[in-house]
Amino acid sequence: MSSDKYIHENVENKIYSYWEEKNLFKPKSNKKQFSIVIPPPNVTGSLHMGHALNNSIQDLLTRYHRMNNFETLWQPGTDHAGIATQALVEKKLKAEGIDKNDLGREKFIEKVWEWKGQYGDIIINQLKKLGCSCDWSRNAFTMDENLSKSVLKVFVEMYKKGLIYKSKKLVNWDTVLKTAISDLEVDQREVNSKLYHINYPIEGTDKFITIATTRPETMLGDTAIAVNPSDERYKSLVKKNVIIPIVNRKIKIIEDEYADPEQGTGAVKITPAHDFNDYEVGERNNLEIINIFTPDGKINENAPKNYIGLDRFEARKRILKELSDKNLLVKEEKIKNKVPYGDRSNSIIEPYLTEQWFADAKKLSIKAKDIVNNKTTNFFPANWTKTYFQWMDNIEPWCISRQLWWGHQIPAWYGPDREIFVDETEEGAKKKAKEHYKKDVELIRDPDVLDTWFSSGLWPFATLGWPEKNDFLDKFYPTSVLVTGFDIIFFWVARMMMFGMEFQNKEPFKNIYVHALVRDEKGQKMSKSKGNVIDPLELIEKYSADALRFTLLSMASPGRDVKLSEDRVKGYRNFLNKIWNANNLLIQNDCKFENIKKA
Amino acid sequence: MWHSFCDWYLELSKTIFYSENNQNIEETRNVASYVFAQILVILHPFIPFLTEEIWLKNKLDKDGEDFLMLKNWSDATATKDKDYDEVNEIIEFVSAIRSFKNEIEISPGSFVNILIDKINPNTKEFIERNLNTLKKIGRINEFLNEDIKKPSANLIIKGEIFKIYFDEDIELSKIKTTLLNKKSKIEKEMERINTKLNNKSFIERAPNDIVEQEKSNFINLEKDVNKLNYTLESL
Repeated sequence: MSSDKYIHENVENKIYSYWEEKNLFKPKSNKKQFSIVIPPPNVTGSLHMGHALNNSIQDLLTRYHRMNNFETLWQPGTDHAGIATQALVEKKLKAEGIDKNDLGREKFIEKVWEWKGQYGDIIINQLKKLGCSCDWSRNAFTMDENLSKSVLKVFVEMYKKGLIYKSKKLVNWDTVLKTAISDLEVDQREVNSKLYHINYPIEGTDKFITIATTRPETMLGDTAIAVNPSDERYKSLVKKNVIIPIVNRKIKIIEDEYADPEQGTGAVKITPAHDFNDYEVGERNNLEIINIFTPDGKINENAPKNYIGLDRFEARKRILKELSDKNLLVKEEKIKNKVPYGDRSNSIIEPYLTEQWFADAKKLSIKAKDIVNNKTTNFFPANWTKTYFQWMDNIEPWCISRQLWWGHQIPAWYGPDREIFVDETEEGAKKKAKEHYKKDVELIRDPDVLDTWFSSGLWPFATLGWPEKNDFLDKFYPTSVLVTGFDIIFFWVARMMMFGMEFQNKEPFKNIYVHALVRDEKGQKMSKSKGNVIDPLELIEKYSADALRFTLLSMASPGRDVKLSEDRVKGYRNFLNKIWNANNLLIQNDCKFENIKKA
Repeated sequence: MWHSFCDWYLELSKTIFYSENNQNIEETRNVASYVFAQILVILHPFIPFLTEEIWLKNKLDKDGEDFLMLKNWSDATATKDKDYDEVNEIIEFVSAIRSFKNEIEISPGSFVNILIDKINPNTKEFIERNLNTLKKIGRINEFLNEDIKKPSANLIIKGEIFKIYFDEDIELSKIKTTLLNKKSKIEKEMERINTKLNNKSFIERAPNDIVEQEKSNFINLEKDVNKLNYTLESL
């Protein structure tokens, strides 16, 4: 009966199945409740060390409360991860020689569901290996029927209240994924760039005005040159016409505060369609907006013939050559500046004028800030509160539409005159349209889907059954604790708080435990390029899930990163042996455990 | 917990199990089981698999109804009484012997005899009460009341003098060298601290608690040197 060594491989799976068979992860009725919603890992994901730490902490809290007379629920699930999943399946199909556009939307989505069926549970099984005691009978998926219903309901309600609206604005455009992304998903990276000083000839003279730019290709869309009203150098040139080289279009020199006499030459070229600041200058001065890019970042038909179809960076090279040939390129300056990159595609983001759906994040942020101010919801460690407010106080409108196929399709239909009808169902929209047009019309549904973080924001109450009235929602919402890394405080935590207050009028969680990162033993971030990534699954196999959990948990003190080394895990594995041996000793000496149950 | 339970408690328990006193054995069995079970409960949220496996193996699960997963944490608070203190004294005594062996670099497994003619009566009684335990765990052959002609060294434990006799194979000269080396290392360190403490600018500039720390370090090192001296003299 008592074996000499503790062989975890023989124990862990067996015990886990045992617990599952006996339904021990289901909440057991009791006076007090304790609930946690899992940060849903992407359906494309595989367990990494961050997951291991995050879920070990949650399991610790869950088990502890379960053993202390709490009715305990740990709500599990996965996220459909719009861009990530679509990109992955697209790649897979491409490798098989299939292009998603040949398949068409419906068939492509079928393929994604197929893929999800095959691979989507991998991470769930890995969580089980770690010993996570989630109530798997409630395993949710952001695209399952319940959650999809919730998403549509939220959208429609917010639209009715004016919290969601459509607008033609300059957005962050990813030319590789061909979709808008939110400002959160843009990574501003400092790079070495060149600042080009270019001469624009002034009409009717042999004089020039010099502008400086890091993106010469945008000159194809210039609609003005701006100088500061106080800049003496240019006072005589205001209102004069200037001819854009290569394009040969006439534009005016205008006065605007945006031009800084101390920066560059003091004269800036204005391209309202392709720069956020220029767009505002354009609005103030009623400038024309000329879009010169196609969705995949090539020059479009609004440019001179020999530039049409060129990649934007190729166009840049050609323009510089042409300018240099014409002696209009005054100089090239080496500088350092920040360039926006899409964090998913790693491509340079182009500001692009499109019609998108937006959520009024500012309005939503009010109640979400209140609950932190009045300590209804608390960050632990407390210093994250400051970070939270820094972002919430400066929040921008949230671009929620994505030009993708995989995700929650926006419940908006368009009539022949582009009138919008928003409803949870097609029938509902058709009804509204009939009332409007006084006859049956053909409606086309908006092809775009919602930002993945939109559905994630509903997680705490949607997984508990909303909008169906049920006692789980009453019992377990607000949830007790949210355990998360700091990197998704804005993407996810803040949004859950906003949606939670808007739709439940109650905070989604009473406490937010922000844990640190797991780094290598030298304290460096784990990255593939550094070759220092430690795979938790390997450690589990080698030393046991118990040893890994214990190592991570014992090193996870608030605010401090965990410096993980394999030796530590080995050490804790030895601790397991000690306990096993202790048990053997007691058994060998005939310690009768039954007797102590009454003690 | 690791340290307390596994190392000490189990070692102490072993002596009882291997003794002939049946009543003690039974009591120890029950206490050990109880303590161990509580430990499993406390550890469970951290290391659920191992703890559950042991729980079930020991048939702590009656009729498939009771799993460690759903067991309740005990609210029992440990009461400190004189037995608790006694155990602490045993641990202290044995630890002193062990670190002494470590310091003079003789094998921890080697046995010694100890002369206790100069210690006070209370301590003598303590040793008598716990004779078996101390002998077993401390690796002591005998506690002696009369001096014997064997290589030995003096050790001070909690202010009392114990003469430790080594096994035949121990080379006293080697031990002496080891101790002298240790002593000179400590004295060098004391010298360094002394210089620091005599440096006016250090006293003025360093924060108060650092200065106090250095002072207390010095005093501790002084105590160590005195102990070493005492032992050296006896060799």
